[in-house]
Amino acid sequence: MLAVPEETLKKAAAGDMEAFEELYKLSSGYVYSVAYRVNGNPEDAEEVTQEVFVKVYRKLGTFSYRSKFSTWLYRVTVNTAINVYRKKAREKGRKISFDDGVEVADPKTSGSALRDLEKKDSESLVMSMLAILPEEQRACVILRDIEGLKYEEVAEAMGTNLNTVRSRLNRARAKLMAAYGKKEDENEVPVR
Amino acid sequence: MRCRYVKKLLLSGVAEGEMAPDKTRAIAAHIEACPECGEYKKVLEDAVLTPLASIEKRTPPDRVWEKIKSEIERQDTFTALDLFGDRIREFFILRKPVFAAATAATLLFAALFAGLYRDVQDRQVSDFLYEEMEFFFSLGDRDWYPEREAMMPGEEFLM
Repeated sequence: MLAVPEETLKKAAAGDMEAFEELYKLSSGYVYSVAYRVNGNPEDAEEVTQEVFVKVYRKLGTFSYRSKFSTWLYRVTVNTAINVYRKKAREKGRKISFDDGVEVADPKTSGSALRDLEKKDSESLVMSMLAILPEEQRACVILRDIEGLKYEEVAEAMGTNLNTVRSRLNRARAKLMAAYGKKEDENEVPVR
Repeated sequence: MRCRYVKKLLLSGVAEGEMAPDKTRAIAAHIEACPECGEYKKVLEDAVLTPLASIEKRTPPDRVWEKIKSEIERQDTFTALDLFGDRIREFFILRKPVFAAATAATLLFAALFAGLYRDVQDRQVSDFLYEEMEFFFSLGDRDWYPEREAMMPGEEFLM
């Protein structure tokens, strides 16, 4: 779990570039990973990471130590990543390709593709699973199931309430299970 | 317990220990007795949750930090230029009425000075011309000649 010493944060907030570089080294992996999972390709992940850390540099002085820095950073990251994703989606007419995955634009056809990818490496499988989900649900799954945040932390990072997070996770997992041919409805259990 | 309800609870986090202990026990009992729900739980854990939880973290390339540093420096430069521009603008905008008043006062003073100077000059020229005219008119005055007789010998050649 991401942890940055408070002294480093305070120095970075005061404009100390060495402290900010230390902060970057400690937290850039988390930011880049989330950005990569949300956006689905390294180019956009780099763009998001750059944007996030420039924002952090500018806004760190306003960060109140009432909440955890990690949650604040995840919040900035998720918001930036979703904004970049939506911007790119508008530019490309909602056709965004995930690396080694299926297109987000057509979740109805992605289930079979997911089953085909089951035997491939775990990276491709995860990216294909995430590609099925709408961005808000995807972000919840990334924070909860990949980054291991608590439900309350996911809610804070997403700027929403606990019930919304539960609902989004429920729907996201149901979609993923459906992609594996596993429906919730007992009368509609298809044979794999 | 209906299978659909159990599956919903499984998706909602029973596998993560998010449920109350009595509910968890009831679900566990149902799953043990129901092969369909048992299979559903197994797929959820093995095919969805485990791959997500075990995926490796990614690290950004080194160039990203360089880009961040450059962007911060670029923004700082622009901020400094903006501040300079703002101060210049502020200087002119705030002092515009002062400049206008000072310019008007200068022009007024210049106009008054030029007018007075011209008046003085005009008076000097007219006085000079008047004196000259008086002198030329006085050349024909006969009262002047008797004094000539009192001239020293040879002085007339100097006239």
